[in-house]
Amino acid sequence: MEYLIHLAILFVIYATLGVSLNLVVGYTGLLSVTHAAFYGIGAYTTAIFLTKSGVGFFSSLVSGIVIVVVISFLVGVVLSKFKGDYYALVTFGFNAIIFAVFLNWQNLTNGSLGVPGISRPELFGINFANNFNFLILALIFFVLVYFASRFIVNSSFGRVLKAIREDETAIAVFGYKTLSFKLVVFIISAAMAAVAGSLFASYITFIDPSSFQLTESMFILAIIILGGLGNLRGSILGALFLILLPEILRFVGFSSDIDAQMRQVVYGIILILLMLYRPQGLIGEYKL
Amino acid sequence: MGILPQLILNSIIAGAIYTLVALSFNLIYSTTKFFNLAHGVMAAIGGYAVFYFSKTLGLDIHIAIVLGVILTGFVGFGVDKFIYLQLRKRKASNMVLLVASLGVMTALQAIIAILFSSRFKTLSGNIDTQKIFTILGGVITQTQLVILLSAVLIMAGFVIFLYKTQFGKTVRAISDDEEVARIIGINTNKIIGYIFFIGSAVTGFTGILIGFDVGIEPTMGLSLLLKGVIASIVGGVGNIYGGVLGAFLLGFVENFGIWKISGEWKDAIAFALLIVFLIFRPRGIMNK
Amino acid sequence: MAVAVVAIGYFVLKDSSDISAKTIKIGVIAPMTGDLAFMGEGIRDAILIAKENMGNTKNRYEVIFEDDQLDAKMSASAANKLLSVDKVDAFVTFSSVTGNVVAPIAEQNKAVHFGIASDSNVAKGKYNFIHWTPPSEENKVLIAELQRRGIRKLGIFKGNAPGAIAVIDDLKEQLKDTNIEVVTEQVFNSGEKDFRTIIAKSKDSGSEIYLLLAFSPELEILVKQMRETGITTPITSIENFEMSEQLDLFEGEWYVNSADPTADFINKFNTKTDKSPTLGAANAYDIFNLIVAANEKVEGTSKPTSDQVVTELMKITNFSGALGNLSVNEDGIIVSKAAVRIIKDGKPVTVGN
Repeated sequence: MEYLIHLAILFVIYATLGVSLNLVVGYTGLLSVTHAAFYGIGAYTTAIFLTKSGVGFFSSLVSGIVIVVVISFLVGVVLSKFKGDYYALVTFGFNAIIFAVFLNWQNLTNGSLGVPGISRPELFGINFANNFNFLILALIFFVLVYFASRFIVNSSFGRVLKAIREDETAIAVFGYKTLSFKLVVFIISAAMAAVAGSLFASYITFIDPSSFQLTESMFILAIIILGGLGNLRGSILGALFLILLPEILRFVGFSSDIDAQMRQVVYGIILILLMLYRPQGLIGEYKL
Repeated sequence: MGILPQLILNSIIAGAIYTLVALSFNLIYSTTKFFNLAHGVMAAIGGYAVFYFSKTLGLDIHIAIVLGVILTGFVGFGVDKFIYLQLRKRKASNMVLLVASLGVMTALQAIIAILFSSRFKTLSGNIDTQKIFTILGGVITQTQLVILLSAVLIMAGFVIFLYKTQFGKTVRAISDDEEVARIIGINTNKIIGYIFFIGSAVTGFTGILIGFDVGIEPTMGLSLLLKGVIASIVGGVGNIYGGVLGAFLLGFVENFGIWKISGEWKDAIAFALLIVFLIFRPRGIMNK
Repeated sequence: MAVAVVAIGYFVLKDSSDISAKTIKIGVIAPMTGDLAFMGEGIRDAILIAKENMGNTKNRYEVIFEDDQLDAKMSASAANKLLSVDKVDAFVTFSSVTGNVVAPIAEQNKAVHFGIASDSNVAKGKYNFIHWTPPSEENKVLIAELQRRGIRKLGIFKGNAPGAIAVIDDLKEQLKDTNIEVVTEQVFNSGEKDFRTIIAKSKDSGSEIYLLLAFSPELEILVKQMRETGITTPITSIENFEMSEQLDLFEGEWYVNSADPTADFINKFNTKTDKSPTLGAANAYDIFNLIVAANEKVEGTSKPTSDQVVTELMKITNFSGALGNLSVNEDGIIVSKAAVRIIKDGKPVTVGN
């Protein structure tokens, strides 16, 4: 049971990440591969506040959001010059740079040793060391993020985003300041990732730089491509699938020598097959 | 003088390796236009193939290398034919191809690990068999010299191939506009198949060279690919000379960066360069 | 998707008490795929060797391996799976990352946990232990030898990983009271294969000896590249030379190692796998034997509880392990003495004190 609750918590965190990234990638058409960086900044802010100061979880979470908003604003401004593959590569670069900061700014982040001993949230005397309670907390945050995202995509703001995705020059002609729209959605998406990061840090009670590398950004991207770009429910399904699949494979036994590697082979083959037979994603709406 | 000659030499050696990857990546990317994550694995395949042929089967090293390169070419060709081509036929988006290539990379790396274990291996013999040359105050080994020569030769080969042969002309037509090329009667899928063969073979050869210089491990491909991609984009995607220039620029910036700053910031420096560069020269050094 | 949840639920809720109630289950969490897979493989092999050579025991022991790719969330998933589904009694983990993730889980669930990790944080709590020679002891021996040889200028190459960083931080602290100066300190990231520029940077530092805090394969590549540039300066390390498959690279070099390791283990490992042990393999071997020893010592015929096992573990002194003569200190950290060794004719030899 604990195992399932644990998986549920991870699923909720990654659903949050997926939904928020989809706003930028699926709805606005910007290939961002730096989500793990904002996830990480949120996580580290919470971790540092919780271990080095008396600040509580919720204040740490808010601080994480504030810091991420500032950084994503700066990053977003730089990104406004780029499109398509170049955009992707620059986001990639930011992820690498921020990872290097996590790894090398030892005075702040403790470097590769990571930050252990992060406490669980304290609220109304509820014992969040109980994972089920934590799951509820995470779910509440996810629901907030999800409905906020739904509101955004269904609003006129969202329509402009989709128009930018389809043909940015066309909508610019109509007088829409596309740069502002792209910047705002990027910041909102980053802030949501920070929320996920704070939850992650407090849940595992330990974080280290290796959780926020480029491979993590690619993983989140895979979640939304799998689930279906431009579809929020799809991102949820994608997260469920990619979190559960490696776990299910734990039960598929091979000879212990090659066990883990065989699972990777199966995992890779499943990805390939999924793309071959369901390229629009599990629930697809938007095909580039 | 001091450290400068060695630094320059180190930069050139690194640049030569990146050139090889940039050339092959550029070739395939310009025709297929998607980020093939599995491209890097071809280096591992080449290296391990030679390991198998020369150390396990005991074949003469030169034969092993030729066989290794050809084998890698076929693997790349096969991956295209059975996976990417099928996806292209179904009009799959670039994102879908990206995820599929992630699956290919995962599966292939795991298969190599199963066959050869994850242990680092070298292709060369003992340390003492390396000939060492001193050029203008800097040291370079025989293998590194071979790497340099290979980069120059292959670059020349590509130039001749792309600009002086009929086949090359067709390739350039496809990279300009695939649809138009098809309309005028070019069998684009067949040509792309050949491109995959060539590109993978070159990458396999690069892996072999690295195997002699330092060694091979199943996961060696990804970081190699990233560097090649940075080089291509900095230099100007789709432009051979640009890719080469970008590769050497990257080699120089990395090594001079380590000199001026510190070893652990190497990757961050590389990406920072990329970003700064793109801000001021977004189309790369050489516009297409 | 529903099928998947039901499937996992089935395994979780299935009653696994059909196996004899006195089977002690040990869950091992290590990177079995990914960049450090070769280390996970080494640990797995070492534990399997220990199990094969266990001899007769009153309890039965079962080992289950889970891959975590050295990724915090996967470590947590592996730990939870091993607890809920396999109902393990003990954990063995590799790396400070995995150790720090699993330690709170082990403590909360009263499962004995041994981390092969350099971060002493992993040993926090009654049920958590570490098997990794503490830097302070080895640095003491290192400094003594440096002084004995009259070395005043030390050059350092260190990998950007917890193990190396902890050692160097402690070393620099201890060096404050000596007249030995660190004249150059070069850092590289894990996975780096091109050390040529940091080597060039250190060339004019005037180091009398280089301390290399790197593990295979970076260690061998670093040394090769140093030699290629014509550097003949002596090199030394803490612990890592002996495990190399290219001992000829270190011929004649002295280094600090845990004292009196049983050559037995290295031979056994060679015989079974045709390779030399990787980082942490010897630790894993010892840990398995320690867990078995503690369980066997518990009196009575029912299955030992974690509290009983912990009590026995804390009593351990003078245990003969692959990493020498082991004792468990009050923090749950396994300590062994360190000594200076040298590679002579391709074999490690202890230098007389």
